[in-house]
Amino acid sequence: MTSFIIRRLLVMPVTLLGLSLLIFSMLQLLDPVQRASLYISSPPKTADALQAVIHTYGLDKPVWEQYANWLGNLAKGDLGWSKTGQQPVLSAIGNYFPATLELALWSFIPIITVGVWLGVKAAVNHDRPLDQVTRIFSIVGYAIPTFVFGLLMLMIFYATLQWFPPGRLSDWANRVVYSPGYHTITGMNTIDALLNLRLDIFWDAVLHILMPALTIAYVNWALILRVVRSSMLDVLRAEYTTVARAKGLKESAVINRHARPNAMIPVVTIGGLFFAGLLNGAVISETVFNFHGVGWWATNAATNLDAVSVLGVTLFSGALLILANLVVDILYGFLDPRIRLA
Amino acid sequence: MLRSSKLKQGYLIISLLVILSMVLSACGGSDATPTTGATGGATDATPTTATGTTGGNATAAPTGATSGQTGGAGSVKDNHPNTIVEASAGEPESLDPAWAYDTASSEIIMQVYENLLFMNKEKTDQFVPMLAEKMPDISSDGKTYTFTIRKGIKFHDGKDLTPEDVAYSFWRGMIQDRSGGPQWIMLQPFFGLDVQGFKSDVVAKQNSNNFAQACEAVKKTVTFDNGANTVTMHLKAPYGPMLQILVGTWASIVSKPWVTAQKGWDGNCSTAEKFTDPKAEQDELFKNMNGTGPYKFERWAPGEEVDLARNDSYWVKDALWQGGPTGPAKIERVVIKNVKEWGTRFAALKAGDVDIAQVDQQYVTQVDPFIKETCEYQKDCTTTNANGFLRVYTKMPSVSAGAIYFNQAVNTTGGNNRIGSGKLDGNGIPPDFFADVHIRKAFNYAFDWDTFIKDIFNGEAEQALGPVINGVLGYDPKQAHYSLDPAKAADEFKASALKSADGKSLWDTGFTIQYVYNEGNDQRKTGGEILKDSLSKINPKFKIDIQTEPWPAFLKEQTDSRLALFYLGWQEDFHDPHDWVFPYLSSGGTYAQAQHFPKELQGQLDTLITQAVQETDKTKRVQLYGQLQNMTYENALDLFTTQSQVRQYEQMWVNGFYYNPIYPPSSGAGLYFYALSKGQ
Repeated sequence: MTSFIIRRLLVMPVTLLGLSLLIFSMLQLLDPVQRASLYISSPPKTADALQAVIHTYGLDKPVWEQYANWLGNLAKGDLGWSKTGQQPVLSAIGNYFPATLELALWSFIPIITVGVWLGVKAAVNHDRPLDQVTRIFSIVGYAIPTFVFGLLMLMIFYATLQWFPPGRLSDWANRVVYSPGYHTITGMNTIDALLNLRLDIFWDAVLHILMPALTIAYVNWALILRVVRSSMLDVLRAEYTTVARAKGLKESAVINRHARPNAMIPVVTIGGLFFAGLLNGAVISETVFNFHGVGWWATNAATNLDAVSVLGVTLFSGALLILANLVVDILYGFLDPRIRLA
Repeated sequence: MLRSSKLKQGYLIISLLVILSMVLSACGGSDATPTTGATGGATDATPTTATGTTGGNATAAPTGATSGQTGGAGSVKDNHPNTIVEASAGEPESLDPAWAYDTASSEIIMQVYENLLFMNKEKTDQFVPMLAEKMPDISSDGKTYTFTIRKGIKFHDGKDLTPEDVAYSFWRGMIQDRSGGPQWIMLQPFFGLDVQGFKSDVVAKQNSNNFAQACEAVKKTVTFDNGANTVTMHLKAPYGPMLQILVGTWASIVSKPWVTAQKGWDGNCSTAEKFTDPKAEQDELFKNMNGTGPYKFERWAPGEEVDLARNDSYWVKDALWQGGPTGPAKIERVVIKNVKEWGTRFAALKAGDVDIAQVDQQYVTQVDPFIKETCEYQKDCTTTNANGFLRVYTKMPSVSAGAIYFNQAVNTTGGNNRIGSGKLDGNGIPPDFFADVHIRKAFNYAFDWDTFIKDIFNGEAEQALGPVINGVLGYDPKQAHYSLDPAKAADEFKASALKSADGKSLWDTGFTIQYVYNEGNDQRKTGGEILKDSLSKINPKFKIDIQTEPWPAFLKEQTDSRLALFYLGWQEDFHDPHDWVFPYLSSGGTYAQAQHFPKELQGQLDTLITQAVQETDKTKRVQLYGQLQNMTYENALDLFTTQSQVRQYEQMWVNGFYYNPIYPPSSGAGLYFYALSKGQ
């Protein structure tokens, strides 16, 4: 197991380097003028302006030279300047990732708990009304675009009821958070508020995060629910389940002790990738709820051809995905002793 | 058994916790925020209209239209009476006034920094002294401007403003001159109209690449005398728009000791080179501000918001203009939020969390049902819907205009499918298709402005009559211009001397041409569709193929002169006709340089443009720009489409807005927060 983990961790930099080379090569397909448009958003006012921008940002240098410069800076821990984030890429990741992580945690827990619970219920009540209701629930959740659902939530619970505002904090709370006496430790407002013993800030942060978290949760419950339901149905039909029943175990014991743990493997697979996906940013929810995280920033960078930011986000996302896969592989071993990692 | 029961309970508890937390949050939220419909009383009190306008070309100023802390019909309550929150979709690029060239940055800079002169409220052609004690003394030859600097003004860090700070600010700007930045505007009056940049012209061409020498040359253009408390500007030649360019944010005054303390340039020419053409992040003032203005910089959270706090010791004791504000600003804090998603902005507006919001043209119909009061430009405000809660200012002429451009010599290097076959054979056009004035005139006669303005702008735009737009010196509403006239268009096409290889006329052969606009701009797309429809009715053989390109690709093709027919817009830098005729007509202009006007005509245009900008007599300038407008019309150099009008949406409790088109617009019209107040 240990050698497996070490091997996977050692391969990670090579994978990331390959990824960076791929992205860099793709970005070089763009003409220097096209890339200069990041810095000139309207027709240049003077004849020389465009060429001057290209020269200043080194967009006309050979590809290998640009890549070598980028790698050289990377070695020094400098991922470059994010034009769309208006800060160094590393600092942007540091600033935007806590928001994404906080949102991921707030949405992942209900996604898994409620998703698994509903999935099990649906499977146990196969083809009964409860099963039908959860199926409709999941189909609606799966079919409705996140964007539409998010806006709907915003209009009802913010514009009309004024319960859950967008953003990460209210203006008054922002002033407290950025005041000298307040310590930002994790960058996650709910946690930092508790660490600072500021329940008012905690409550304000909760009010802001609930809507985007619920939006992400609802549109994703469907997937978990269906996977759990399907997996549970398979397990419930398995011979060992029949044996358990034949031994006279109560149905609840059959389900909770024999069926459900065995039905969890696909949930771990999907859950792991799903969590990694959430950590890369829930683009739509972050945009609709003005919750500025990695997804919001990455989209903004990609649409503005901000090559430096795109590279930084890609590397970061790649690393997260590799780590998530590793964690999933390790979890397999714990869930099913038959799986051995070598 | 026991384990399964515990698990079951665990699931139940988690589920209940999720539900409970949502319910509790909901309940808590209702305590903390106002409920809808609970504040009806205040709303009935405000069906009033504005008490007219102030002098000059004033806009509607709804001074009697305030409704206190609640909006119309008791629907919305001001959640932060001491703070004004603006929601727009723009992100500042830099907070350095010398570097910034975008409206989002300029809006912030305008609240924190100040200039020698300012505009007289909404009047765009009248100035008032700001950091200058009085209007400048101008020498008889129009080349020397002497400013006396106001005494007793302090920067936000407590240091006194000195004449040296003023001179240093101009030097620093010109020497910094970052690529694609605004400093060409300051360089041209001091070093010549053909100057494009400090490094490329002042250093390389005028001072043989001697940087220190070029720096000294810059320092000679603006001199100071701390004893006499004066700053003197020495122009290369008289420059008509000089006062106009001095009110731009690029001409803001910074503190020399403070900039030096930020590791910026210390004013010594031996060290100046490393401070020229910095990238945004390398610039010492990228994220720092220290001005003399009514607001102090507090915080910039990139992508989220910029916060400003009131300068409690603001220096203005006597109003800068009649009836203008004095003393510290009425509103304690200003928060400018970047909310890109329209739905989120709209929701915040409805919740009362935002006082002023950007409403793009396509969303106007969503907001209109919530309008309580409509204030049309230069007219009184009227209550349009007693149940609404917003105020809107409409039909304010913007300082941007659009045009469809004709390229008279399309670049065909390596092939160019924008002109199809490249021949007059019905499947394309020759590269010099638009060199024929009859064709350019025919295209102008074929455009339906009325439909364009009605369908695309909901009537809130006006036809642009030439490069000089309404509101700018030299504009004449009676200027000769084109209107839709298919018969005349047909006549012009028939008069074209163009012939196909087998000797057929343009009318008999027809043509196919690509019309290109930048992706996502539906107005420009519709402009092309109108032209296409109209031309096909004139002659079914006249075909337009409408194409769109992402902005980067579009920019490349336009600058490479590869587009034959394309739509672009122009937003002015400074409010003077020079900033309009130069890009459209000068051989060095943004558009004209890629359009290849005939040499003789181009020479005449360049001469007139130089003559007009160097003329300081207003009457003569008007005549010269009139001449340029006429030449543009007679030669049908472009198809000038529209000058758009802007709207401004605000909560009913916001007071004091007036429209000055030169203020950098962020959420609609530009805002000078110092003049605004909230409540009764």
